[in-house]
Amino acid sequence: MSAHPLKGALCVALALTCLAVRADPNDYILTPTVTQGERELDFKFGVGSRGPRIDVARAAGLGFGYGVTNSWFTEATVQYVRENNTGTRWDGIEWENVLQLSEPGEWPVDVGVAAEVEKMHDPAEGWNVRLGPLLQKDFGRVRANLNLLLRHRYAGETQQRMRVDYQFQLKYLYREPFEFGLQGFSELRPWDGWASSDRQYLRVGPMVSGALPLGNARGLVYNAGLLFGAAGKSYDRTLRLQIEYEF
Amino acid sequence: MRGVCWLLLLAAEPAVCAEPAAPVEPEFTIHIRMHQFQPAELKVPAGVKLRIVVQNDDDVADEFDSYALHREKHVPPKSKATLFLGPLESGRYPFKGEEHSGSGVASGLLIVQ
Repeated sequence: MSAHPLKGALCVALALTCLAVRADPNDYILTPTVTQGERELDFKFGVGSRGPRIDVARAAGLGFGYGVTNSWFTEATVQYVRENNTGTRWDGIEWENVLQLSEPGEWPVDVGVAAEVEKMHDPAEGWNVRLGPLLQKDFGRVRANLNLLLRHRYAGETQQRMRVDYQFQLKYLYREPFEFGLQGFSELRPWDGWASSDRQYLRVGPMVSGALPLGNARGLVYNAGLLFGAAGKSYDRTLRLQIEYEF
Repeated sequence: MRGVCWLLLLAAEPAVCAEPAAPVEPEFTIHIRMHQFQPAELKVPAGVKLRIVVQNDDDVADEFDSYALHREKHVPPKSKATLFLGPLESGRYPFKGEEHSGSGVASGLLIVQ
């Protein structure tokens, strides 16, 4: 990849400032690779439970994504949420962009950048922005992912300091329809002075994923995890599922 | 915010500022003609990093897709795409192209030895 497209990608990424995104139960692992021309319908769902209370929070999103170039993927998602049995409500609209900065295997670590902007339906929650590097490396048939995302909220009624999300995943590439491993999501707040563990979010647990070709260049890709809270403010249990229909 | 910008610039500096270097990996070329890979079987050395250039000579887009190699690459018409593989262990790694009506799915084999 030449330097000029890379500089252009960086300019786009830097133009999008960082905001904060909630630790929704339907959060998912971002990856740094893009397939040009790929179209997908992306459904993301998650349920968070706390103690004996099941289904404390539920979140779902339906999005449409497209690989615009061989280094830029973009997706728009409508988000819904239900908390504490208050009824399902429209939560906001998210625009996600992934910029692939290296060809897989070209550098010692595959690198990309994620830039997300979310307009919350509740004006009091303002705009959320999330920005940061996506790292991926294969060790034989084991794939490791580590993402560091800065996020911040703008124009909301309550001020929030910039926060750091990190995501990680280790999975064994067993077969195309079935891969398995471990994944985790965490939120460190604020970014320049992490609070005590009882005020952080950390969810870790096993995951499965895979791809099912349907013929005619169509396919289903799934990713599911059962996460357990490992820090004070996390849900005790989170069941998350992502299904993509590629066409 | 300024700190964020510096962090991103430092992370990307080696890629942005580095002079383009001559390829050091062995390079091999696979052509796509009439929706078929040529050669359909390619022998490459084991234990070294490889550069595979997929040259699409057709007027329609195609792809190089291989789960065994963990690579999926779209190749526009009359264009080429570069893949970086390895080091790979000895073995046979299948790959395939995009499905086209009338010509099915092209298939190929990377033989690493």
